[in-house]
Amino acid sequence: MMNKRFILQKLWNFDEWLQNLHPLEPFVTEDLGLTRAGKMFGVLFGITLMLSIIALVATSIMAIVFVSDIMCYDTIDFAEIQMDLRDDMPLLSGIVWLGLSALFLIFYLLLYTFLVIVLHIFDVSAPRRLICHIGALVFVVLWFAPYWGPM
Amino acid sequence: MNGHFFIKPFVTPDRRFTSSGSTLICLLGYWVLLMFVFLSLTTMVSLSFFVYLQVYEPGDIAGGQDDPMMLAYNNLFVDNNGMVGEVLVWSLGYGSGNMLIFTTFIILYTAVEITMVYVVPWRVRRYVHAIIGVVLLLFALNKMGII
Repeated sequence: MMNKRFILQKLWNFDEWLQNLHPLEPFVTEDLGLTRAGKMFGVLFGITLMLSIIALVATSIMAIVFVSDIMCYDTIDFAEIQMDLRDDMPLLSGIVWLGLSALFLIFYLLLYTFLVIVLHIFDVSAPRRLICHIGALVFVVLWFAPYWGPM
Repeated sequence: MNGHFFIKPFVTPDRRFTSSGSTLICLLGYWVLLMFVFLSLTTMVSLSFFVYLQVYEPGDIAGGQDDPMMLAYNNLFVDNNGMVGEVLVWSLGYGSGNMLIFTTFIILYTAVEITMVYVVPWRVRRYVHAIIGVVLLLFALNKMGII
């Protein structure tokens, strides 16, 4: 009796396709150097890693303060907290902005990697690749634009 | 020293992952996913805090009534025996800290592979990785107050 896996293999040669899929090829040259996409990935990942760590520390401290305030709502005066933090608003804005930027970078890193591999698989020409990458960048910017608005 | 030096431990001559490369890419995949989850959480709570600080006007609430928005947050965090609040505080406190430890482990893993791959065989290197992993895990458990 044919099961679904067998049907998938027979219809689309999924296993064969998967065996021929080499996601490293667009990033690494034959002499084990980095291609332009590989260098871009390396730089993007390095920036994302550093920014994410800084953003995570800053936003988690800010979030813990907020949640702690809310948890002991009966014993605190939020108007007083607001007064105390009035001068620090640019700093708080910067922290939130940092977190959003890190999220943006992570999201773009995933999309960029996915796009490079997919475009390599379908052997898309260089001008069309450029259009796809610009399109992806615009998509991610538009996705996050409403969150940057309140800043 | 060129890029080749850093790539060779993780990529075979025919551009496939070595076992170290597969492990590293798995670690990086988990790192990206976990970082996305925790950073989303902390950033969205921070954003709520920031927006709330901007819009909160105690003078608008007549007769000394409680602010409805604050009450809504309070209900969300404190209801259900404080489950949501506890989980949130736990995620914010330990999740973020453990992400830093996880990042340290990935950096150390990469550094050990690059520095030792040419001189130390895998059967020895894997013990080095295991020792680093266990030490960082014990450190994390200690910080969480479990041991």
